[in-house]
Amino acid sequence: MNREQLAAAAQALGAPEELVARSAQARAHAQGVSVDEVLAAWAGGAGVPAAAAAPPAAAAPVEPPSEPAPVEPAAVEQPAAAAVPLPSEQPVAAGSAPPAGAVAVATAPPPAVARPTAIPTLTGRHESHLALLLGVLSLFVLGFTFSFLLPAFDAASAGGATPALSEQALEGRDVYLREGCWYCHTQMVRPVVTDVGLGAVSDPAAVDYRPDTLGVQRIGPDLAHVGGREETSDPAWLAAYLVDPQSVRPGTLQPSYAHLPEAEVAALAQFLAESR
Amino acid sequence: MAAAATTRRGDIAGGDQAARLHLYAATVFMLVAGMLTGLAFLKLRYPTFLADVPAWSYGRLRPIALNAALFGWLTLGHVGAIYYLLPRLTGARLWGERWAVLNLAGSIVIYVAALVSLAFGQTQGLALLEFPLWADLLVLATLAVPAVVVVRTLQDRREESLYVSLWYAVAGIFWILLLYMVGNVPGLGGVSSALQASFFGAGVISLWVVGVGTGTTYYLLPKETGNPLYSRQLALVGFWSLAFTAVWVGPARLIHGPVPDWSETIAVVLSLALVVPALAVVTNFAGTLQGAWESARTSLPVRFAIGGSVAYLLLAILGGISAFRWTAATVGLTVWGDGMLVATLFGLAGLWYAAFVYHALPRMVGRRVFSHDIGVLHFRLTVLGVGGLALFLWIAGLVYGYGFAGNVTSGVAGNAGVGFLDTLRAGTVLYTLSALSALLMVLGQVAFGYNIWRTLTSGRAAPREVLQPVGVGDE
Repeated sequence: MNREQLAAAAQALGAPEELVARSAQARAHAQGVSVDEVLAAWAGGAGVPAAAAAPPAAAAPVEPPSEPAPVEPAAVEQPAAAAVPLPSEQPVAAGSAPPAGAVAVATAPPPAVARPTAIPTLTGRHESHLALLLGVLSLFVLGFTFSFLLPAFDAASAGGATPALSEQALEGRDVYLREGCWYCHTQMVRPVVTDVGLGAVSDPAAVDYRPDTLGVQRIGPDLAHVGGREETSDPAWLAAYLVDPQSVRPGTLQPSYAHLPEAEVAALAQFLAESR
Repeated sequence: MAAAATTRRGDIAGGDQAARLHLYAATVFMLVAGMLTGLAFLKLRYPTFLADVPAWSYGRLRPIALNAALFGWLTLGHVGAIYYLLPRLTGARLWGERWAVLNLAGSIVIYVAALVSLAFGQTQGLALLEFPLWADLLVLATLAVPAVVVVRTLQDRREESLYVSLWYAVAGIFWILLLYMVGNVPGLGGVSSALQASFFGAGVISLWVVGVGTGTTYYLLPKETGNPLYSRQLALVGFWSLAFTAVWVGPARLIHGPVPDWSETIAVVLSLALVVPALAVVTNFAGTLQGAWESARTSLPVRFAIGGSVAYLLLAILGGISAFRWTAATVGLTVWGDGMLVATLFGLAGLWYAAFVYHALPRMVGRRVFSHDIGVLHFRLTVLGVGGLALFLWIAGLVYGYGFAGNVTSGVAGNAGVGFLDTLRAGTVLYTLSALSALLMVLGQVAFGYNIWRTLTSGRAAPREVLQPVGVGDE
């Protein structure tokens, strides 16, 4: 291989000599010509005008010149990879004010595009989107298994007892879920300082928490054992509070549920009273 | 160049039609979601406001606002962004554009119907998964269509290499599809349901909402600044670390809760690991902006992209910190988490969404953004509004967390009944401030909507970006 030609070709393409050399070998192998001929063509011959005129694919953001071009082994190089941006390409909208300067590059496709063989494809790796999806899917299944499937199985097989609720309380639980009480109230006691005094710590081995009334955050207090507390163990008091919370406890942020049918308020109060 | 661009309209029938219409619909949903969120925060502080209407009770309003944001706004917006990016990065024409448009019409009908059914009290009772079962199946169908479009377009592509944005676009549509499937498996209940909802919630925020937003920002920064992407290696790290980590952090929402300890520990560790993709992505953005930071003054997309990136880094770090067992013992189950959610949806994702719209819309409709000044106003109101909203909720989370701990250690009051109420009163001023901040946020969104509307109706003409598949007609 002629070192001077290699240097000239590398300079013309703006790529490291090592990459140019390997690509030239691959191209020579593919086309059945000598390496020097390929280099000569790239350095000042047919390849360069084509390369200079080659548009990037549509308006693709320009691949970085700093990015080391992945070079394929000779056997798998893709000679047809015409549209791959060359490392020597300049940014599309360089120096011009957006958005006027950022018109699609596809305005005037030079004929050079149609002659794939004229362009050296230093980055000519065909990246498979299926491989990408396969990788993403594998990682998804891995995380899904350990952060959802296994702990959920653990909890489901913990063997907690179903809480004994009256018919009315079961209806009340449906109202509790339907009205979104659980956006502001939890039914989940944790073994931490703030939860001391709220009652027994939630444990799937003791209680079967189905359906899910555990909740997500506390804008109001925890209700896991609300029926076990002195004042709030009375369904009548709870129903009155739900209908007109402001007059029962001034300053509370509890919204009124006076708009619900009386039977539903009573059921909801019953559910809370039985949450011990 | 510009003249040639505008005369070749016929190259792709209705070029960008699907992307454009998706962004319109998404922006309308964004306004709805923003206003309902504002209303919800107002009602949180003033529970007697608009009381007595079942559909407007806080417990129904909040899921409507959240689902309108997640599905109506960000899902339609991201699908539109994917439709915009695909032809530009693959060199192929968007496959089945008509189906995409038809699917948009279907999606809008389904989302509206599902949101209305939430107002009537039909709910699955899990956060972000409230849509009833009939809607879930339809939503899955509407998500399958863009997945098919993505795969078929990629099969036609002329571009051999996949630009970074495409990774997020391709993976993103499959992530949301898989997450939504897994999230809506019915009949689990109890702790399993809680794990299901937290798996979905963490995944959909990190992978879909933030992930596709990352992809669009990777696209628009080089386009806006003229700089090449700083580093593909770093982009690889950012993408794969996200793909690995985000599906592990679900149980972080149930720290100290009734889930196995080992799953909590994994979630704590990997919540902190979620800083890695944020750091890689934001560093890459900063590298791409090297020498072009000044363009933030003139380019709205760059300004919004920078704002969103700062939010990303901040939220990733805060998310990591708040997952520790000792921090979760204080701020866990307080409105701290709500602050994170609101900041991610309306701050991080909202800023990146606006960046993308300000970048893509002029190119699709051939008009300049109506007013740069209104855009800047939109930016400032969003930063102030969402920033304030999140900040006051975070402070409230700390006030209540430490307040409740203090109630226990001092032994003066308990954390139920009147004891709870006394602590609550100490921080209600923070809820007032959050409601005011939410109002600023909504004003910002209205400015955005107005700017978009005027751009479409009376923006000055600008070169339209005409898509032309690479190599077509040359063979």
